[in-house]
Amino acid sequence: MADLTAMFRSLREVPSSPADAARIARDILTDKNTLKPVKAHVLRTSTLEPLADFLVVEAAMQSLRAELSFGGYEPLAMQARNAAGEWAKADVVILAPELSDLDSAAAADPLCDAAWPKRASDALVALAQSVRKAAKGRLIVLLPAMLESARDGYGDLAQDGRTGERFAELRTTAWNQLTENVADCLVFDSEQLVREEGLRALLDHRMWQGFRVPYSTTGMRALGMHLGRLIGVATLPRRKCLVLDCDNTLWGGVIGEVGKEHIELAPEGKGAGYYALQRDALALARRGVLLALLSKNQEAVVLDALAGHPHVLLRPELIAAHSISFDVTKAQGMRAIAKQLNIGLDSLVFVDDSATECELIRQLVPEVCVYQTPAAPHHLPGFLLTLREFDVARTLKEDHARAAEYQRRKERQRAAPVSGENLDDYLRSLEIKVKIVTARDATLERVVQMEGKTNQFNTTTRRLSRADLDRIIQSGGEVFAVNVADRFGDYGVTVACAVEMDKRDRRASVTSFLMSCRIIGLGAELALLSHVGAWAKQRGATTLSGYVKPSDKNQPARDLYQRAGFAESKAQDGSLGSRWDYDLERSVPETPKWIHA
Amino acid sequence: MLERLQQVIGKVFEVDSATVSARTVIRQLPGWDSLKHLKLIMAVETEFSRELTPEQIESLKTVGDIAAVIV
Repeated sequence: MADLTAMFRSLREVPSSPADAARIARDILTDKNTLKPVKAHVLRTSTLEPLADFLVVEAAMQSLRAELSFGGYEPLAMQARNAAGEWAKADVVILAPELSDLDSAAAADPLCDAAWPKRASDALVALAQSVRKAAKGRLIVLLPAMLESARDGYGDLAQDGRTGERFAELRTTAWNQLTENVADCLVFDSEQLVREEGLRALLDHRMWQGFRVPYSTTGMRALGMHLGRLIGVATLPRRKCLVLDCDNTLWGGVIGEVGKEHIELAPEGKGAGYYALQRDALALARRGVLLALLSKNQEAVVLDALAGHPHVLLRPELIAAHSISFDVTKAQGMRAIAKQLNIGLDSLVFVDDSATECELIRQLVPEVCVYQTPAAPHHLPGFLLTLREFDVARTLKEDHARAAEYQRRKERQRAAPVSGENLDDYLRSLEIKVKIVTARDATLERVVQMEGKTNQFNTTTRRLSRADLDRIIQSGGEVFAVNVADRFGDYGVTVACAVEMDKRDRRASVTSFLMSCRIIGLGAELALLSHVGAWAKQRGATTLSGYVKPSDKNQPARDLYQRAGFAESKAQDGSLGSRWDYDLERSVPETPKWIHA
Repeated sequence: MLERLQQVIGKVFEVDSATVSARTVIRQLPGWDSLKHLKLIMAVETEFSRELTPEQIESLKTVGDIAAVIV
């Protein structure tokens, strides 16, 4: 069965033949052991079933077994209101309207008036909100595309005319409103299909007129693949770090032999493939992926090229960690990189041109996800952007600055005391400042992101969604977020917790506690517990409880409550683990004296 | 050509393609419904790079009928 998972993962591409996709999808859906099941329901008014097999294959490439169901063809508002329906329990709900579902006047005549984009957007947001209210899982909303040529003239082919402007306005307005007003919502802009496939390949009026299928087979495949990929974004934790080989990956040639002046790396001509790969790596760094280098080379030679080659895009400040040496194997170097970054090996993705090195890592460090680069440099552009392990929905402020924060962490570690020196003095010298806030809006989004990504310092690994956190806040609990800074810089929101209140028991319970591994050891977590203690006491709680549920990875979080002076109780909660209590009538947990709150 | 068609039908309907013949009635294939029919049409069109007219799609009764319109 393990082979089956390997097979699905190694499928490079979803087959273009519906018959082949059907056969593979059937194998996938009968494999009840190795793939992680995820239920997805599609609310629609058109015939979208032909995308199912393609979606299932794409999802399996991310180790998911997607079980799809489709709603009836009745109006979407009616489907959305039926909250008692099975669909509301799905892990992911896909809302797929046609333009006619949102504004029939615009569907008939896209030039009818200038106000329809706003009307259609409002209708879509209202639909999404009512689905959100009923649905337990995450939501994927499709924005309708402009599936025709401009209707207001032919003379100027560079423009879609006013028709295009209206559709663009619909998409921009709807995207902004959805991401702002609908929690846990991913947006897919169907215009992407037009860009990728072209209108001619995408449309099949026979299928629309005869069966109400909105796209050709090519289009249904493309849509199925995008939705399968988005289901992965909605349900799977992401990997954090891209580990890149250097020679023949970042540039063409062996730098130790030809020297930095003669490596192949340029925006045009011979080195253009490698330049494009660096450009894509840079895009990943911008969305918060950490970059690391793993190479058998002389460290000084590589670092000199990074700093001094005119066409290098991955400058030294973008590299969060590296292992460049002839003396260690790549397997050893890989472990060293994970250690430097304080993240698990299963957060790493390795990219190398050498089949041998790839196989070495697969065998010796199986937690790492490995990709070999395409052999021809002209296949390198876009290659890194196809790695699903780094797909994210939205990038936050914290993501953009991540590599720089890891750099500062390196500096902080260099300043750390050697054994025997006074640890308190060292911590005091860091001038650690914390700012604790109740999480709302963008900060709450950041907490949702941490819920999805944090594996090590995560007391209960509950993976709470935005909807879960909203519910906690609405029922009298609170979500706290901590911004941490020290003299080396600002780490952003890196500690968070969810607190639920039981008024009858006069108990406040910390049911989720998360901290980014970048700031382990500073004591910020203790400052937050102190703050929560005072908050709970003010609201009449006499006990502050915390829960710890051991997972494979949360070793660093397990002694949190013990360190904060909580006492272990005999109580156990099935989903939350063992309970620790702090008697608030006696005092509140202390903030470490080296922290400025 | 019939062999390729048999294979396509085998994959779409999860049947042994050897049991499919020109006389096989499409509606009697296991699990047939209108969506499966649509899937079969899309699979056949992709496999043989053909586009059937709506009239042809409606008139297909047997596997032999499909073979006749794609030659």
